[in-house]
Amino acid sequence: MGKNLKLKSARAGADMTQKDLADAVGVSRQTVNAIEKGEYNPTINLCKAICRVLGKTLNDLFWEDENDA
Amino acid sequence: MRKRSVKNNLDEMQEQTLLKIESRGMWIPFYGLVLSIVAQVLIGSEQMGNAILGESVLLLILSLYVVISCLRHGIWDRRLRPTPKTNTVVSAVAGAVVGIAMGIRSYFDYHAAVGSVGVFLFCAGFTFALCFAALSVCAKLYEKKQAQLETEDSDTAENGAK
Repeated sequence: MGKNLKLKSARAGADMTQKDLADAVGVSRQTVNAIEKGEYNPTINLCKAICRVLGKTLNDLFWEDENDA
Repeated sequence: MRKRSVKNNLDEMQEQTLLKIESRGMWIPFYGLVLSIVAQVLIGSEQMGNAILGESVLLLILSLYVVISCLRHGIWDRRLRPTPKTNTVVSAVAGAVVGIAMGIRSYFDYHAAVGSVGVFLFCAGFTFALCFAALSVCAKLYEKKQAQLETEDSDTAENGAK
């Protein structure tokens, strides 16, 4: 599983730290960090919560093309 | 009466990590108890039966919990399939381990090679038969549960589609 650079970029674009995003979706900073590093596969509920906070769709943040995977 | 819920301090990743730690933690006492029982059989004493009683009861409870829980959820194993061939191999390994342990114990007690071989054959054969019977019964129960779960799922899907 590769790094989730789309999430990292969207978070930075929203001017949020990992801690800010973590607090907004109700998880720990280490979980957001693990998702961005590709070390943890979040549940669909957490994915949706992250998308809502960042104003993005699931496709924007979590869809991987074959070339990305 | 209102049900009081205690807030979970862990998020989903921490919860999964804790579950992994707990599941690994379960295997430490499991194999610890097995090794402890085998070691005490090999070392031996006149009160061996009493000495391993506690460990045996605990191992039995632990094993029964795992087996019953898995069967109730239609789970067999990550890699092995419940086939007669696999059950035969697993039973043979269990029989060999118990037979060797009891054979060695017998040799140290009586210094009779032929008698020890007899003990080995009897214990290995008995354990093999017992394991194979238990595995065969469990395999049947597993297949029955699997069939039931498959039917339940398809019924739910059909009802949901209507």
